[in-house]
Amino acid sequence: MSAPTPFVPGARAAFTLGIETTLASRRAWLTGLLLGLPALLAVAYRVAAASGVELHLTGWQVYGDFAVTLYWVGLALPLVALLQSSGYAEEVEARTIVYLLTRPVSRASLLVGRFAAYFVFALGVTLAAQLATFLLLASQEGAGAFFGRVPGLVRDAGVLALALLAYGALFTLLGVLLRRPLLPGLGFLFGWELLANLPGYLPRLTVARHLRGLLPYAPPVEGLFGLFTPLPVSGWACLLSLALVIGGGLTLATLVFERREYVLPQ
Amino acid sequence: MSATIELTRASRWYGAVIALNDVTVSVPAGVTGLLGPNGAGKSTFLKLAAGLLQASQGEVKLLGEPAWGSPGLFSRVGLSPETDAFWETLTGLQFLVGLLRFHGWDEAECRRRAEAALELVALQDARDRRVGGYSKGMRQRLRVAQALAHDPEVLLLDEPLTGMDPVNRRRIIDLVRKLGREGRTVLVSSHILHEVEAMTRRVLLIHNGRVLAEGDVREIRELLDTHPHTVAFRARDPRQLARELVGSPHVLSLTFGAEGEWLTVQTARPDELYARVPEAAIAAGVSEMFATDEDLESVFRFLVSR
Amino acid sequence: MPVYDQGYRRYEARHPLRQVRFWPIVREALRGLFVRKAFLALAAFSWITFVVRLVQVYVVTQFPDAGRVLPVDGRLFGQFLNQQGFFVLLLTVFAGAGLIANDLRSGAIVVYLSRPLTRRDYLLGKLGVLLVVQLLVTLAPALLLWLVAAALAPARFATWQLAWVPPAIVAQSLLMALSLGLACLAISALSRSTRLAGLSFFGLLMLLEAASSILRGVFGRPEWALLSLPAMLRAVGNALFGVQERALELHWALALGVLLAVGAGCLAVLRARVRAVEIVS
Repeated sequence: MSAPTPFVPGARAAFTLGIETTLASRRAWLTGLLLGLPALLAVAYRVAAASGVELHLTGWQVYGDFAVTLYWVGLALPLVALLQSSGYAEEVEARTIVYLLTRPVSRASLLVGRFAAYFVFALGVTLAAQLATFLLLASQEGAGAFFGRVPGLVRDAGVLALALLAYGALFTLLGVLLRRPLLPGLGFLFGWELLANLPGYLPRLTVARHLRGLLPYAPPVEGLFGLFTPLPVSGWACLLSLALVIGGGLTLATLVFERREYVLPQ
Repeated sequence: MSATIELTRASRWYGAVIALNDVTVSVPAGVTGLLGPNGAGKSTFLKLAAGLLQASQGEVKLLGEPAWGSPGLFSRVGLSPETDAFWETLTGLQFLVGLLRFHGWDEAECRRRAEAALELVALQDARDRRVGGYSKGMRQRLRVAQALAHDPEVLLLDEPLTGMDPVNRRRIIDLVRKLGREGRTVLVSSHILHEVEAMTRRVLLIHNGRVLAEGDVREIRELLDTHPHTVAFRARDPRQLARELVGSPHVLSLTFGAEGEWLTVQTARPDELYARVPEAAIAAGVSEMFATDEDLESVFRFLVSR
Repeated sequence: MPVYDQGYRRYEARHPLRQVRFWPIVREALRGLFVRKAFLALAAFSWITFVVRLVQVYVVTQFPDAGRVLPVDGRLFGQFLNQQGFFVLLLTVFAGAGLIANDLRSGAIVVYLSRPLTRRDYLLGKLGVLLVVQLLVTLAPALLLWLVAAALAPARFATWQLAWVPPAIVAQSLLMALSLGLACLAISALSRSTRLAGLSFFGLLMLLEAASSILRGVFGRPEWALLSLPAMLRAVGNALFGVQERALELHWALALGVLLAVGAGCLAVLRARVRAVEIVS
């Protein structure tokens, strides 16, 4: 039997190619724009504060409630995960998957390498934007308050990484299962994930609830959902659930990808 | 010669459409042309051989191993696909180096092999240009380059000459012949007989998902000799011509045209017919004569009906 | 014996055919869409709000006291169209993301424009597809709702007092369809990947929506809603139908002006990107 290239070098090759194609693509710009928006808003905030404009929210509220909880965890990271990690569907659409599938590597190493490329790229952009936003907004109330909030920065970074991993694993699974994962992905994000705002145990079936359970912020909720108070979930339960989503999603995605045939459109 | 690619009763369906139908064939080392009209099943044959698709029924082996589910085989096999698809933002060199890394070589080795492959297909001057800016012929050559950059034993080339100018067409033909002489197995698909003839004498004729014939291209041409040729004559007196020809044992049928000027003759031995025609033609006043079906399509039709 | 001139005369299309050259594009794209089960399912699902509103109209017209809790008047149609906004967005992504991106990727755009078809015809055809799809879940159910309401309570709905409702439904539905349709086509024209175009369209709208709500929260000024396309559409719709929305106090004229400017920007993008030549970098 001809032996394939070992797992690690194979995954490394997939990772490098993934990074190269991502960096040179328009997806990278869109990802940067989506993830970097809070940093731009933080600049606007500080400029407005310096100009004496009346501000209705503190810098910390803007950082924690809006930037971290509502924007990154609730919107931008899931969208970036959908954009980047369902890339196999795009390879099929662009018919470039034929080059990947004719390499002497296991499909598992291809999938893991490409997932790692998505994660490293998206996390790098996210952390840069988060750090900039934090520095601009958390320092507004003086050095004492700022240094007290630094541990929160690390915790938030961990939650953002978990969000990328969890949504990334789910959308990788969707990307290897479906030829057109976009609408089901959006349906999941803006349909299923809204269950996180309902009362009772139903929110525990969502990724969003477990991510929010790890964050101390309480952003305002508009409309009908504002009437409900979700049941609390312990941090450990959230971590365990997210680990299950990440591990389960990636394992299933690998199993599907290893068995799946890709008949390319002519 | 031992077989490199073996299909045993292999069939492949796409939903209700059958692309390859109960094919049993062996492809030995050297260059083999996979010849057939568009939609004959050539690409499906190559994808099955490459292990990109799984046979719906039957068995496909490559270098003695099952083609499907053996990723290690791709270190010994190169496929140049028909689809014109690339990561458009990469340069030609980045594209090849990126794919060569999957073989586990270090960066310098990947680069050396990529540069050598680009030189083989005369793309060394365009190596730092983005693939998105390549012409159709350059893209075709880059597809060939990625298939042979890792020095494979088996090369599967799907319509490799499409879109190339005459100079590069010649270059790729010479390259394929050279690879064949080196003892590699090269399976080249095409729907153009003379393209395949320029690369090899061994052909597989495929039509409607079935292998119709395999062997030396001269054998195929001999088959043509037993293929009932149809020759049409325009004559002042076609019935006179028919009287002259009807006694010949090689004439299989005679049909008169509707306007009374035409006679269509079906013969198993066109050379004998042509030898006899001049004599009969004078008496019948033949003014025009042509063979109606001396093309690849008619050969396919003939072989199908056998 | 007459000797005829062996010259060539161009085929002169009948007058109406020349005027609707874009129609085959619309027709073929719709044929492709209407055989896709996922599209039909999504379009059918988009009518769920219609059923809910229908029950509301029935209950209130039969039991007028219920109208104190669930008022049935012109505002109902404005709220209904606002709710349909999300489905319009999804259907626009579904039907519109690949409309131009696919043609750019496959090179079909050159084939289109080498026919007796101008760039305007091509764009009208593509926009026509989106208009049909979008109006199917806005204009059609809203007008049907009005007809049902007028049939159940003619004294209330089929009067001069509420005669403005159908034209308002048409105006708001068209504004929604044109704004979102042009934006989606412009983004589709900037990409060769359906997936990337769809996500860019959706992502950009959501990004601007999020930026708009953060900035409104920080500065407390309604003008920041001008960053959000859905908010601007709601502002115009609210003014048309008399809906009060506390969180959105944007002036309709300002919103309409910005919507027109966005539309013009999208047309400029389409003009630059939809060409019969391929620019190779």
